[in-house]
Amino acid sequence: MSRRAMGGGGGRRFYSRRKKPRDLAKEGKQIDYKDTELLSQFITERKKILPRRNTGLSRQEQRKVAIAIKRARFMALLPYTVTHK
Amino acid sequence: MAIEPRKYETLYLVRPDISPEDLLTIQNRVEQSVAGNGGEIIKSEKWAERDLAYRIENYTRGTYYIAVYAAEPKAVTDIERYFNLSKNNVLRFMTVNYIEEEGKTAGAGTNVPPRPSEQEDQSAFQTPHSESEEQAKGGDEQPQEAAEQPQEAAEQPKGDEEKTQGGDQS
Repeated sequence: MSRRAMGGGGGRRFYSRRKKPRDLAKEGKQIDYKDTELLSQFITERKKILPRRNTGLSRQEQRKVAIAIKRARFMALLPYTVTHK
Repeated sequence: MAIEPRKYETLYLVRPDISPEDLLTIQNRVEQSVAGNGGEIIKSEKWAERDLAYRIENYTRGTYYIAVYAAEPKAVTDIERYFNLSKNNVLRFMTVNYIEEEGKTAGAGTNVPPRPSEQEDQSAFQTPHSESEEQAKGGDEQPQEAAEQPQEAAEQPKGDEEKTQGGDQS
């Protein structure tokens, strides 16, 4: 009983709230791996790629963004992590 | 034969302390490869000099150059082979298909109706503070959880009750 209480309220684990849908094409923005300012909106503090439930992007755009982030990482425009040697 | 050659965009990163002659050789070599494969250079210029996101060969800074050209695919392999051979000057390079800006923005976005499910989600989760706060905090779950706590507690106080009860007993 006490263990259950200490275990932290069972299934009460919250994920970050879903964001409003966002359509980059409608904003007139093109997804380009060189546009680090835009891409950094879709990564976490620890430089991980945000999931679609947080970015609010369409499936197609999320994919484009993810690829662009990976390209930018390779070109050292964006970091892979915050603990680069 | 009548097919228009593809357009490519090559971004390459050279070390910051490269000699002007070496840089010129590289740029000339790129242009030669394109010309030698029946193509034409659309753009060949410096893109940016900036701090690298991580160290490459112990360099923390580098200069990016960009070349946009229309040529046979052989030009790409030719350029990339050359870059591979000049590793001490060219730290990174990447070639992608070049997408013209106007064509892209005009074509996309017109035939994408908003999905019903997304609309529902929007209304279900709408809160006054969600937008800006999430932006600032990124994906780190911990602080967000804390921020959401008061609101969530008002909606369903059950979980909190359980916790306090447990605390009393122990």
